[in-house]
Amino acid sequence: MKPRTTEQWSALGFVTPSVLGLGLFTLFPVGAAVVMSFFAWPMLGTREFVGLENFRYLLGEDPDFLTALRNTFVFTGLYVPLNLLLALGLAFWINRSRWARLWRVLFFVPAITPMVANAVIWKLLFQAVGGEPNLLADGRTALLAVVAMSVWQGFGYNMIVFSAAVNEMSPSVLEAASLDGATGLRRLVSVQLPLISPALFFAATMTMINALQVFTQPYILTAGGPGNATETLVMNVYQAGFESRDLGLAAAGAWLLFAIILVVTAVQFLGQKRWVHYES
Amino acid sequence: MRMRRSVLLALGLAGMMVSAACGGGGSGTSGGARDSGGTVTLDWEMWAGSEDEKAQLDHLAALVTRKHPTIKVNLRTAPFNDYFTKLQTEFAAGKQPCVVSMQSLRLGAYADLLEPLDGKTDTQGFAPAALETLKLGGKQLALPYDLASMLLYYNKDAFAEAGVAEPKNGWTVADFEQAAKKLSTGGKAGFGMSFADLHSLSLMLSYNGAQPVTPDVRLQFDSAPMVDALTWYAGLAASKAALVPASSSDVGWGETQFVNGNAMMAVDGSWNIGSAVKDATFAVGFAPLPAGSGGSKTYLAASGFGVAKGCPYPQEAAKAVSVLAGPDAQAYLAGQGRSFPSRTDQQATYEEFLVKQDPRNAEAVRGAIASLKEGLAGGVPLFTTKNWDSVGKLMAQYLIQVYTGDQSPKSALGTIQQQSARGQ
Repeated sequence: MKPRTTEQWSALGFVTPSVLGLGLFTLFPVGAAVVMSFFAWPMLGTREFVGLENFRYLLGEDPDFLTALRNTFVFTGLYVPLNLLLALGLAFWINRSRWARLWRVLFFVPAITPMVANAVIWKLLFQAVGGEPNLLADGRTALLAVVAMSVWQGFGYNMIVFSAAVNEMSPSVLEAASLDGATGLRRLVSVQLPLISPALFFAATMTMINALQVFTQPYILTAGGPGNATETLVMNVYQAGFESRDLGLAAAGAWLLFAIILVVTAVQFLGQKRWVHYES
Repeated sequence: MRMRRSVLLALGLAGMMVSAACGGGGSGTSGGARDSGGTVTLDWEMWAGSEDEKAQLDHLAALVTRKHPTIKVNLRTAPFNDYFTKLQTEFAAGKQPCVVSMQSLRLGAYADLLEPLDGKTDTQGFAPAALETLKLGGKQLALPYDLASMLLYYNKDAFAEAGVAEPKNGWTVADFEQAAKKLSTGGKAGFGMSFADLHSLSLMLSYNGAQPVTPDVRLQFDSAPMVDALTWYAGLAASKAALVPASSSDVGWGETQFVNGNAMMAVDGSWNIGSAVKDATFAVGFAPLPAGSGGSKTYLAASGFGVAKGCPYPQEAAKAVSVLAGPDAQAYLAGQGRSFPSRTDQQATYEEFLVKQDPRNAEAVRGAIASLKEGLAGGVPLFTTKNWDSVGKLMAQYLIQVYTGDQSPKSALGTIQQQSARGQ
């Protein structure tokens, strides 16, 4: 055998498992979901082609879908900035602290403990705090309570990312800036943030995608209630699929969510040219 | 060129594996098999939470083979919380078991998938209410192995301390309200509210006979009696006599607050008699639900075994179900303290188990069983629609808004009715 052929065969050997995995567990279900979204596809019973009916129902008739969409956007609009600000602030503070390593571990703990356990503990906390009605039972505060819990759970990951980026800021650039007289806010906005802008971009994009897919926190804390005050898009999909057993409707909802995430992420990628600076 | 061929090969391989993975479910019948010796092996799916429970069920499976040597039962279990998700996935994939364990509240969703048992099994010896509870549209879809009614659980110590007379048969809704108000002191509440179907709807049923589902299984949440009943129920919170659930995800609120000592009364199912007596740090009393205009009433619930449509051996499956819900099986389960039997002859065995388990509370347990039997007299099956899961979710989301005073009973019930009309 010629060396090139051997190389090709081993390359194939390395690639095949992940191609198979991707095909079986990602591409095939994604394709199947597209097909399903055009069918009335009850989990139990016979399926029937209905064209765009599922999409029409979701956007026109479903009493919950548009509310879920609004709730998801409100959640994302609150959660992403709060998460990033908190993570960023703590990352800067921690890097000056003597106990930097200890703080990093402590603040990272919520991010690696199971979400369900965190949500259950927070639910008990909200119950213990009490109030009439409880924060989770009041339509005006329930979503805010979910955001608060989510920020606590989620900022640790971004903090580690920012903390690493802050550590890596080029000392020569910082020194040049201080020789030029840049201090305080000026130094932060014009020098430090641009230096860590790739990390900011990464964190903002990933956090946004996660936020649009929020499910576990409202599912455990409020079950979508009171009313539909905390119902999110993924909860709507779950409800359609596993409570109404209408898989076609669930697939259609999932595709709409996918489209939204795709657009939001695309906008972020287009926008990065304006503010993200990569060291060349 | 060669590279392209390799890629094609890889894609072909991937394609083959995909089609192999998808094609597996297609092969005809499922849930049972006959071997060359003529012995039929039937799959039986049941919920079980522990090895002990599994062992009990294995014992029942063995009873079937003892009675019918040519029938073997192959037990498959899942934890209760996953059971119905697993079952519906199996039905969807055509891999359902022949013998299906079923709860009365889920009957609506599975009615079209179960073989009616009328005329195929012997229904002698069952409490009529238990059989009725597992019927839908006049068809017997499963044979019950247990039976439950809803009871008023109360904190005997708190009643004594507040000088309030304990509930007894004939206790009215007015008595109940008065007691709840008197017991609401020092941060504790007289009653723990609920939005769970059996727990909240049973008390509303007893109040004025209001029913959310018609006898021909259509939803009527927005009917006038339902509005009146919910107005009364929510009034308990408005008059500070009851604890409102802390969130729509607190499905077991009332009974949990009761056992924790925060609510002095709660409605709970007879299946928790043993655990409440054991877990509570106070003396627990039991009474039938307070009587409204038509006397004390409660919804009943039952679990049992049915035969899946499409089972290749329906006759053998019906025989197996008869043994699994038969007198020997129920006597065994009652002796293990599993639940209150659906067969009248075996019910005393269960009472004796509870008494023996906790002799100090013998009186409470006997009172509870008496109340349970009393409840069966005024008991009504809660028929459920196909989309009852969604209805339960809507009740959790919207009833809580009525309890907190954010929405009127009429508007909340209207919302539930309107949103669950699709797919009932």
